[in-house]
Amino acid sequence: MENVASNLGSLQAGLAAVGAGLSAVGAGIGIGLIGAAALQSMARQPEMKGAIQTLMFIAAALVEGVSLFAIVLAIVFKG
Amino acid sequence: MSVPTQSIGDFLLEHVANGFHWKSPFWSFDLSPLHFQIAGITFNITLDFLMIGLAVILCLVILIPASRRHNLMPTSRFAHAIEATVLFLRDDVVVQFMGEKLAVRWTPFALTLFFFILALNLIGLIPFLHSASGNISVTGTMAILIFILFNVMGMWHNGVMRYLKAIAPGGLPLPMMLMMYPMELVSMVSKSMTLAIRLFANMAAGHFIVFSLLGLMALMHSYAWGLFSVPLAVAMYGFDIFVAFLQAYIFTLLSMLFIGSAIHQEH
Repeated sequence: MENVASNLGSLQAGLAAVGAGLSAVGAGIGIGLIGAAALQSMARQPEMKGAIQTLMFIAAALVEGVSLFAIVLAIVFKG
Repeated sequence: MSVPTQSIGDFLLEHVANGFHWKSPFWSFDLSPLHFQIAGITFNITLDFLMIGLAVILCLVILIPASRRHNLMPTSRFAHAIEATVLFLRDDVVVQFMGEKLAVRWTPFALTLFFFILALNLIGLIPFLHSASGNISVTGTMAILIFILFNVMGMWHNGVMRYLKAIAPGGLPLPMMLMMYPMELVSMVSKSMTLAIRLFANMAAGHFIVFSLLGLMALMHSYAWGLFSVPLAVAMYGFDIFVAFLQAYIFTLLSMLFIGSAIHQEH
């Protein structure tokens, strides 16, 4: 019985790691899209570079915030 | 290095956690006898307390003389760097979110925030010193400060009732309003929370990565792994310096955005 319990513990830690990885995938896709769109618009209108950069950082920070929540939850529930 | 009883995750967490011992290969100070009392509350001096004090002293020692010298043109390379940072923050961050009129009042606050967080982040990267911004209590305190500040400033500039009413977008039917209002309140709290978690997680993660890469040598019981892990750790360290600047900038940017949007509410 103790064996099962310890196995469940390591399963929980493994699942937490998988969750952290999935959140990294989500944030990677999101920030990648933001970066691509910002580069494109900067290439089209170089004179708007400053404004676009600020907006890019805001959007990237918001996306990052969601995935950081997920990572903190993974740390909390790693068991 | 031996990792007898702890799991590797706990060992990693202990590496960035706050504590009463300042350890390095060359010294080990016990900080627990250092404490003082104000109004019956005991304040312990911990490692992060020391690092925050160091950051404050660094900011004062470097930035006050830099601001005292009233040259029309900055002469040294360092003065150029400081002036470029200050101008960038004023023109691209504060003016953009606060408007020309309020920018005069808010630029000092934004600059204080930026340079203080930058000092905390960079102090954490110096070997044997400790990263106070890798502690959720420190970043959480700053985020609570921003949360109180943008609510109070919104009420100050718009009036309490008008501020509270305009939290949810106006002109909605009542059932919609009942649904939207709690959601807006939750988003208000959670955006302050992400402010704290973002800074904490970025700084802590930088230390984790460098530590794990170097720890590969201990884990595999072989210095040959150093050929792989040391160059990677150096590269990650360089990236961490960039992240230290970026996160200080993002914290300042987002707090100015929150305060600005609370002052200039949409109706």
